[in-house]
Amino acid sequence: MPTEHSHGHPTDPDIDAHALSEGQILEMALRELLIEKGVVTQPELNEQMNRTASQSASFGASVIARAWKDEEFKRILLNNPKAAITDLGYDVSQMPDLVIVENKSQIHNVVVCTLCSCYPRYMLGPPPEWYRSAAYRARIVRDPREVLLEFGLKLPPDIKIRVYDSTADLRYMVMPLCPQGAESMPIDKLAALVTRDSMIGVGTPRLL
Amino acid sequence: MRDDRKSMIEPQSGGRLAHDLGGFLEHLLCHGIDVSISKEETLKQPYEERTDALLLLLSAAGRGLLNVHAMRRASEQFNHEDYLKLSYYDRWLRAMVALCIEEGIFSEEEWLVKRQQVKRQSEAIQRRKSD
Repeated sequence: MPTEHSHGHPTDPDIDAHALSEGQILEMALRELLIEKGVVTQPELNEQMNRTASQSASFGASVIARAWKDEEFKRILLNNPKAAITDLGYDVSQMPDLVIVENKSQIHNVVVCTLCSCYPRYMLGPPPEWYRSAAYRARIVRDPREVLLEFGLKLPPDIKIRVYDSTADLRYMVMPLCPQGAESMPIDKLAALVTRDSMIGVGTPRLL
Repeated sequence: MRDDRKSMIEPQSGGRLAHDLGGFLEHLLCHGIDVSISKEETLKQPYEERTDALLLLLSAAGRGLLNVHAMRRASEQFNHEDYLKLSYYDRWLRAMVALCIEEGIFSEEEWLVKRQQVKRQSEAIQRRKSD
């Protein structure tokens, strides 16, 4: 399991001097029972962890950068994101629906899941911890301007903010504006400007 | 746990269930939750990574019993106190266990036996360590 090597919490009880936490006990018991019952297999679990490890916001960024360069692709992407992504050669048929909301010069979009943590993982990788937090979920719909300021994003008062609330069946992501002066850059350089936070809407792409 | 939603709703919460947090700042404050948003991004613990994988596998499209909607319902049945006290993945673990028992994937007795067994193993290893 690739993530096991990244930090100092060995999970093998034989090398872990600490007693397991309640969460660790629940996870181990649940996993062992599900495997014994044949509901999931260890290879399936490994494969899922591998899939998660390989998902990141760089895929979403490459899609946004392509849309910035190619008007026709952008039109299809905004109109039917999953079809546009399928056209790029990715199978997203089993994924929840996706809506990409485009920032305009006078409209800034930001995404939340007030009920849980729904997020377009296949575009952006796993959600950051703050996206799942009670504080973000409660506050971003109440006073988005103040929350965005806390993220370092100061929007002029004449810019409207729209907050989109994702659900289990429908995930939102933001198409940020291409920074002025970057339009002529090649796609891979443009993609490097598109951060995860800019596709959630708590940041904007900036020239490096 | 199917029909006791009413008991999960606190009178002062305006009839909301515990997961319904949009705009609900006063609710967090009265439960002593820090409403500043921490931007610190920590790595998941290995057990959280595995919980995440279990969650995605069990809620994946095409799996009959435990689809995303069943999982959501199970995760939305916490009382307010537990919901805000438990960590994200600890909530999901409890929800998955409750749903597996409800759907008859394993019985409550099988679960209690297994959990006790894991707990005992952990304690035994700890005792050996401290000898």
